[in-house]
Amino acid sequence: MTRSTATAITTTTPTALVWEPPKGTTPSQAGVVVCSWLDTAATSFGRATHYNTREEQQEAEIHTHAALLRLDRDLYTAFLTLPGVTDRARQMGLRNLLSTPRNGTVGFLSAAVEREVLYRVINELPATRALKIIEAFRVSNAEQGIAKANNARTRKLILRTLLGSTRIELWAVKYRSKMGRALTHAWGRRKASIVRSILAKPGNARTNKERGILASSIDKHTGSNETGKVYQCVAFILGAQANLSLPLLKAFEAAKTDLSKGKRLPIEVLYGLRSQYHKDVPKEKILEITKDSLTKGQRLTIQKRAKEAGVKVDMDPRDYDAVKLYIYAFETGMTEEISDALMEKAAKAAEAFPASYGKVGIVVDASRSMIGSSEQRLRPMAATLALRDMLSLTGDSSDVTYVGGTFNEEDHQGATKATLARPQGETSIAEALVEVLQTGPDAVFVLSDGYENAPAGRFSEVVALVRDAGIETPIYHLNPVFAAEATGIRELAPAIVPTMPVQSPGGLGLTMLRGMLEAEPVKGINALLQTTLPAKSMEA
Amino acid sequence: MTNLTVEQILAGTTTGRMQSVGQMQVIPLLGEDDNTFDPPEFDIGTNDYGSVRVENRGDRPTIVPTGAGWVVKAAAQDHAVGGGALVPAKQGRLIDTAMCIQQTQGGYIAKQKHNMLVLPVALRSKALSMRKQRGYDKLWSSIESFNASVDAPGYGGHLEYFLKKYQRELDEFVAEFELIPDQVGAIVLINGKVIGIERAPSQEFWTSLWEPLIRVCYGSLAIKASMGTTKPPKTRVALKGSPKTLTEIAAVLMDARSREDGVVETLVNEVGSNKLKAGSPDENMGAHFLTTVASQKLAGQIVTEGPGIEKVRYASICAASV
Repeated sequence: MTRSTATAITTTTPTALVWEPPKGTTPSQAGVVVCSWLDTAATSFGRATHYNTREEQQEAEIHTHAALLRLDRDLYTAFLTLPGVTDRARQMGLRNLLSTPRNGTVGFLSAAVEREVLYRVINELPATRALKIIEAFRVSNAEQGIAKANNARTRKLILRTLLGSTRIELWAVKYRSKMGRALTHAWGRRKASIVRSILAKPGNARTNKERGILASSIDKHTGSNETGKVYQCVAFILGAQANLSLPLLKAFEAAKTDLSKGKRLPIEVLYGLRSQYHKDVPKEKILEITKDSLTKGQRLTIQKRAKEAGVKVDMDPRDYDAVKLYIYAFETGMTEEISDALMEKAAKAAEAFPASYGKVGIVVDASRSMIGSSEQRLRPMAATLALRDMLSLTGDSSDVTYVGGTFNEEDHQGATKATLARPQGETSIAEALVEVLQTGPDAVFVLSDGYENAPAGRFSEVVALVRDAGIETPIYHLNPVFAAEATGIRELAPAIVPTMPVQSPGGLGLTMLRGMLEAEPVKGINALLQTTLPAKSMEA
Repeated sequence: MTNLTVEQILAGTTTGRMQSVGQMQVIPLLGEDDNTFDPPEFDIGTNDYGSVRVENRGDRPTIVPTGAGWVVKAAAQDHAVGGGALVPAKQGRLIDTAMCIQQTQGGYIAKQKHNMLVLPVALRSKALSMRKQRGYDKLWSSIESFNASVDAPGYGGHLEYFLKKYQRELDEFVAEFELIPDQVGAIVLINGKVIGIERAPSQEFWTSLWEPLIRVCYGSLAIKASMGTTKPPKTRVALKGSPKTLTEIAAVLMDARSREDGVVETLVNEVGSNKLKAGSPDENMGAHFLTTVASQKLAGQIVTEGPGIEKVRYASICAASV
């Protein structure tokens, strides 16, 4: 009796071998290290899940990052740029690379390319995360495996990131004190104080020596930014008295006396000014003042508050990713508009999916544990539903079966296709698998956190029976939850069904490559490398 | 009240599908909500060794679960109670027959909400038998023996030795067993034997109580049981046959499900016939009575509405010896 492993994923893409395992490491050992890291990097948010505490999650993350860094620094560096890697993983990567010297590393990247990659990674992070990681360079935390980073390349990276940002004016008003601390960390207290004093003077009153100091401290890091603009922002950040002409900086000062003049400021900045200078102004007034200048993210999160305050804040569901939209729909109910936006996104993601089927079978685990932790409430379910929508469109037809879950009539009101399933009940995935297989799909995707209890192990037993019966339909387990105890993700049927991490439809490409990695580690690692940097960047 | 059966304690409930992971199995008990009681989410604190102050800030009365304990992160002596207690709405009460479960740690627990646990099954009956005795040190030797039995040795009565060593395994129990709609209780099996019968007044109460029960009370015994064997318990139904088609596989699964329902029915009937003796109520709060019940095999407490056994609102009964 033979048991087929028709579930392995392969690609026909020719793969040049840029990378090979270091001496003493077998391809399969390298594959395990990379897979563990990918599982962490694609799903972990460093937060508690339904199963693991925040501390456990973080410990597991530190372990998988350290293992890949030990295996190969250049591989680690390049993989940080993979699509689908979470911001959290990128932050951790930056910290790890900057707090350890590159000295002596001989690999496929040069020191200059590593610097460029780090710069690219930090620039692609949202501003709050970029500033948070810069803040973290200032302090160490042995328990969390965080080392202080204050070497020359860290300082240069900070200055280039902050002073070269095209959003420096916005950041100056929004993150003034964080920017101030970061610049002071990069320059040192003495130099920061000198720069502040120089910038407080009018331009024509500065000596040559002072101009030289500004040139070496600021000018060489500003990139395409106009120097005068950067000077003004730095002066504002450091609290130097200077003539302000930039619109946001002027609005900030003006709003101290007249709140309505802060109309173009970010809402949180205006809230801050209100609590300091206009305590008598009701909070609802801020919503009214800023309703036209809110960011897309704010428009989504503020809806409930705005409704309560009687302020209409326009929001276009097409501006948000599918997982966020599902979480929003859980909170506010599904509408036709949200459903349309979700299906549009699903269609787009399906187009980029590397395979298509005649008929696709989907098993959706909507059991209680899919609710997630209080920190990430409903995120696993939201990610699962977004994947369901996308995978449904990879086939000419699809069949979806749910395990547990409740379906509220209100959630479906007005919806055409995208529907909510609220997590509830026990997990009996095996029966759902057979039900879906009976519809004759070309492939089955099981979307589950990997915890099974009715009874545990039944899924694996049934897949074995299915294979023994000669049914070779590929079965894939996609898991949206990082599990610390498995140093990666929880598997439903180890060695029979590949389990792949995925946090959103957009990250599924990475997930499919991971499947290849399990079957052919070295080829898989090189295929991953090809998706990160252009070949010429890899030359030492 | 003198004699009663487990069947009487479970009256008004039905069973859900058995959940089974490793050596532990859970049969959910489903029933109607009685919203008389707030869930056991009260403030607790200590200002003397062997005494626990409970503060119920809720609008409804609540029940301190039998064998409840509090292990805190702060440098303060962890405590537990042997029996349960009834606490009126918006009132506090002092339980001065509590016990220390962290022998060499000094300090008092600051009064606030702390994560609750329920003592391991192996300690429950001992603690219950001493529920009326004063003495902060009364459980120390039992805890030390328990720790040794689960390979978490160390000097003295320190329950945290066990909790620290098996933190990950205990957390997994919480994840692996899921609450289902209308659930107000559970029958817990370890190695195929009924070890616990738990019933709460409402789903809300049960949702709050479930984690402390599954994690430490029953999880501790599941850990011990898994040390002896990796074989699944005989009550975990195996698949039978060599199906050749999907239709046959579906039939095999249906057959397993049907046999599993039979196992549950047999188990519930067997446990239902257990007779327990009830003494005089330990205490009452208005129409509600807290009574200790025991037999050779089982021991625990029930809360009834009225002095009779017709309206059991809460029950926490587990194996008298394991």
